[in-house]
Amino acid sequence: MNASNRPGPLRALRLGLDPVLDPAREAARRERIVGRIHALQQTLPLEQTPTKRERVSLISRLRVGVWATRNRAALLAAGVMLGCVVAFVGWPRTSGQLAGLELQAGELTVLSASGQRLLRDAQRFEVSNGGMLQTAERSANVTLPSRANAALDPASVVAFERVGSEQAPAERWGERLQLRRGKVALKVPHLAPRQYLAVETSDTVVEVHGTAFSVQVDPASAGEATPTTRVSVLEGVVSVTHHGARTLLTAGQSWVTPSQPTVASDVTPDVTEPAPSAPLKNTEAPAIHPPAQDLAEQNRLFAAAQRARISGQTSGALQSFEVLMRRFPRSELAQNARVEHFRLLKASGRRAEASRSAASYLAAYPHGFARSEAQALVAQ
Amino acid sequence: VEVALSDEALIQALIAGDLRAGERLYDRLIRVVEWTVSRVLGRERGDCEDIVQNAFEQIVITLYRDSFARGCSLTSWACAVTSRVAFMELRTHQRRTRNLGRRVEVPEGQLAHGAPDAEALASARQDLERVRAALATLNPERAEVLVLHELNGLELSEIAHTLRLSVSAVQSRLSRGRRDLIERLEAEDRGIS
Repeated sequence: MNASNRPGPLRALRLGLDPVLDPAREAARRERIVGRIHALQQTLPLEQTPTKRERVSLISRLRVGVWATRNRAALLAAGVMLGCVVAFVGWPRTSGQLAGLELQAGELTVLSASGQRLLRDAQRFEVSNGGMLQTAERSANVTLPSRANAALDPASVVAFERVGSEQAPAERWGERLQLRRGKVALKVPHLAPRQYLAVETSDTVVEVHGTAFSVQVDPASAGEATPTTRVSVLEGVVSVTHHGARTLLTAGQSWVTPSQPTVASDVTPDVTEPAPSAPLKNTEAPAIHPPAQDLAEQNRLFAAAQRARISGQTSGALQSFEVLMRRFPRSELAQNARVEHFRLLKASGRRAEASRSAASYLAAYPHGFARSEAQALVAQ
Repeated sequence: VEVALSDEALIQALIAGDLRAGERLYDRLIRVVEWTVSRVLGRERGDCEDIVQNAFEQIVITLYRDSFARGCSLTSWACAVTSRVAFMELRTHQRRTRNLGRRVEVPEGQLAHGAPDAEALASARQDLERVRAALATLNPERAEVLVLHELNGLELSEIAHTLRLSVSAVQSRLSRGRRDLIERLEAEDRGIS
């Protein structure tokens, strides 16, 4: 049949093949994609890429800046001068540069302004200043440009930044890891005199010279303004600066916020030599740390509760949410579990219990995302 | 009974970290995302489910970057995002197939709207593949409008809102897209005969 005689070339596509998916595959797909959306909900707020409006505004400013310079001769001269400078001193190595890192083992997602990449096992990659390194279910073992080895626990997020310049005299230079979530263990080789490597959390800076240590950040729980940072030292000396106060930790010592610095020579540090493809232990010293959070167990409980809720098993769902809230009160999923708990009670007509649950949520999360919903329920 | 959230409320809840909003977003958009992917790529392909997931990831990332044009419905906008993702995949697939020097093999599968016999089935499949191959060679902007209007049934004004274009620009892309598609199919017919 000639194409021009067709009732419409797209008719074949319109009719197409019916998208039929059996219920089991449909449910599996829903679980997989919703899980991926949840993972993005956890990580995207951490990625501080400019919004489209900001990008457009920046581009406009650049255009204005360039075209406002009407003297083309001046532009040409500036270009020639820049060329000479580059030829003489080499291309600048800081500010907006890409740093070369290497994934030794595990699985890692790299988030930067140019997009998102999933890396597996041995791979070299580049990351711009401020780029995020993020692990999901597997740990990752990464070699930094300083040759320091960073082992990220599962469900950890770290921003990588290079600071200063090796070539600038009297200026310190090195690498900074901003730990946003989870835990990172480092094995740092001997560094040059002005070189440094630091791990930062929201209120603490941990700085080293040739050592092995780990830093862990736990999300802020109810009544706490900031997350808790834990530092354990295996070898060498580490300085911890918290709200301007500096503490030196030596091998075998650990430190926790917000309590006072704790020297515990009898503590076995929980840092381990980063081993390829081996998930790091997340055990804590019992005298100092609260029970370890088990991320997989939290996810399992939440998923079980959601499955029970969807299949209409209200009591099972409530029970799973309650176990999650009780066992992991500091978990990132705890807020969602509380919200789901009062929503489920409300949906099943248990108004009084729903109101109590909502009040409890408001007490724990006065600025939580579901506060207006909870307030309305309590008011009823 | 869950209260139906407005598009705006759903987006706000999603960005605030409400996990239930993630589920609701999936439930609200899965049909349109699946429909678009299956129409552009065909369900016969084994990686359709991956493309559906890619489309959802793109939708969520774009929502976080505040790039959703509020002038249209979330569903129409998701449709546009999905068609872009699917087209990118279609073009990659066609290029790969050309490089390998072989035609797309369409496996046995479910038939739409009941083909009367094997000959009709084969013919329908062949038509589908030819149109998809021709679509993949179109100007992406024209192909996008063509799919949104012809396959997803969006009104020109809705497409204009979604893509932030004027209605006349949409109309122009649509008519040129139709013309280009027919020309490509005619050229192929002449080549065959």
